Amino acid sequence: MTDRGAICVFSENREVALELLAAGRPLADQAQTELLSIVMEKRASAPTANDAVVAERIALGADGVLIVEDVPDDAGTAFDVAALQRVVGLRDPAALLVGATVHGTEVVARLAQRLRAGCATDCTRLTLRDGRLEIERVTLGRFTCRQTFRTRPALASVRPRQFASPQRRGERRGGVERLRVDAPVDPMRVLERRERVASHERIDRAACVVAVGRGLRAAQDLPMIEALAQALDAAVGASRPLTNDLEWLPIDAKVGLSGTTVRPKLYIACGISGQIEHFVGMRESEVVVAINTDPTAPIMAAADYRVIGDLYEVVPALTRALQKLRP
Amino acid sequence: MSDATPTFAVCVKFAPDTAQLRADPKTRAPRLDEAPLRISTFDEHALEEAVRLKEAHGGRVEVLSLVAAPPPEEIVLKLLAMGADRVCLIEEPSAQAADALATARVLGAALQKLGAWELVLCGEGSIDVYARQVGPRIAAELDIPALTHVTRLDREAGSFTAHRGLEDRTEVVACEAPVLVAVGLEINQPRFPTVLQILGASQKPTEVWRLADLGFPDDTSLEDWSGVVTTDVRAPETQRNGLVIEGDSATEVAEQLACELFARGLVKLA
Repeated sequence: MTDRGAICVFSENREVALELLAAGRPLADQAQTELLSIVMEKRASAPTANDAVVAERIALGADGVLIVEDVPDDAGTAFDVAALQRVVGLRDPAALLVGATVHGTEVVARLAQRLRAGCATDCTRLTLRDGRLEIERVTLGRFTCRQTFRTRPALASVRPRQFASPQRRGERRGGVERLRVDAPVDPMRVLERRERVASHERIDRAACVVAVGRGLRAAQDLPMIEALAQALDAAVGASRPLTNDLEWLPIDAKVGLSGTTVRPKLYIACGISGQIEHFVGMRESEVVVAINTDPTAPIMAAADYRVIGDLYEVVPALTRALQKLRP
Repeated sequence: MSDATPTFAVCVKFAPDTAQLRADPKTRAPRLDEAPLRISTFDEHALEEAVRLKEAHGGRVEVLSLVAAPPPEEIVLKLLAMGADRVCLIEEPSAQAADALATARVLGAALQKLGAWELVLCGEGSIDVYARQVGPRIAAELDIPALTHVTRLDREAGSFTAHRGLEDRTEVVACEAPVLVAVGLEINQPRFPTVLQILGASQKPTEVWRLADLGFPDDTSLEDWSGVVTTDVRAPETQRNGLVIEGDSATEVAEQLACELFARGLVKLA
């Protein structure tokens, strides 16, 4: 099998690592090759926890697990790049899929340059055409492009939550291989880590999402948005400036490339311009309403209904109109 | 690398303004020739950050860009008016087909030609492709560390402290120069140049470099250097209607919209 080259998958995030198994399994089946899950095992982690990780990866679709062991607890990007480069050198995989987290994106880009290899980031679809990987991703704001690779391995990052978590696949067996990598010098020092406040609302599961962007002038105006959401039984989402810069909303309310992908029946974008960062996260919504003062805002091109107006007038009016519809 | 007058290098991309980009109604292909070029938004923030560092610490701001053809004069002037001391354009027709691998090789070589800088700034991604690759790839090319998704940057004696925004946390990291920093939109608000700055801009130097000036062979094709081939670009098949809801008042508009949504079964009557 190995002469065909395995498909390797890696993410530092467990959930995303499992999604990558769901993304990679059909490709491996079609190419009749192995699907290998790469795990970075920290020095401090307990052996029993490691066994559970291996069992889970195999049960959920991996044919084998490659464990990079004895990973320093403060290992960062430089280590993961070195480790993946080692894996590529040892196994000559046909493809390496990485979770498109902030960390994963940086790792795969650095690795790709070292390998003099092409890389496609934030892929939304992976297929095999004539035995070769072909991907789809969003580009130019709202267009979809297809890309193929001229270099081996094909390096691709896959959007978190683009693929559903895999199902258990009955009784499965798989091998475990261990390797060690010398820790490279990493001149970066982390001085401080601060977890961001998370909400408990899962916007990716809501049938309706009311999202708000920079058109909102102050955090104290949020109740206006929440009232509309309540009238629609909707979850409240936000564009990046509101969750990252201003921190008016919890980080898991962020819709977009660096946040959550949502596919609700109804998506109402209030005061959101709709840059590519945001568009990727909401483009699969069934019906899109855009409320914006700027008729040329990119969100308008992605909308089924366009309301050109001030959200401060339109949102409360829409809330009242919806309340009227309800007995 | 911490000499008295530090050089801050900024890599920028001139990208089609995606807000003005239309799809061909028949083929659904993007009509790129109709969309004007602009400085990729993220890179404007990178330049602004470099100019702020220069204002605080002295030094120079050098801007580099790989282009397939000479860009419109006004966007080069804007870079200079915003505070760049010089713009170096690497002109190469095959840049049209260059992927991130080829682009980072060229920009890496251009940065080496530039000489002693202590910081390379760029946007975290570009407004058109937003692959978020070129920054980290340049860092790998030059074998220097990269700090991505940076929302705040402080410099002290040749060392940088950066705030980074990750999915579920923020990080404060420290790194010695030389380093590459890829900035997010949150980092600053780029300035609008004054008339005086715009007039002054035309006095500042713009240079054009060819691949041969960077030590690459004359017959280099960046298309051949690319690891990824784009085979197709198309607008999604399910184009949205884009029905404009109009009315004399916000109330009228809202009621129309509510009726539309109700008619489509999107409003539940609890």
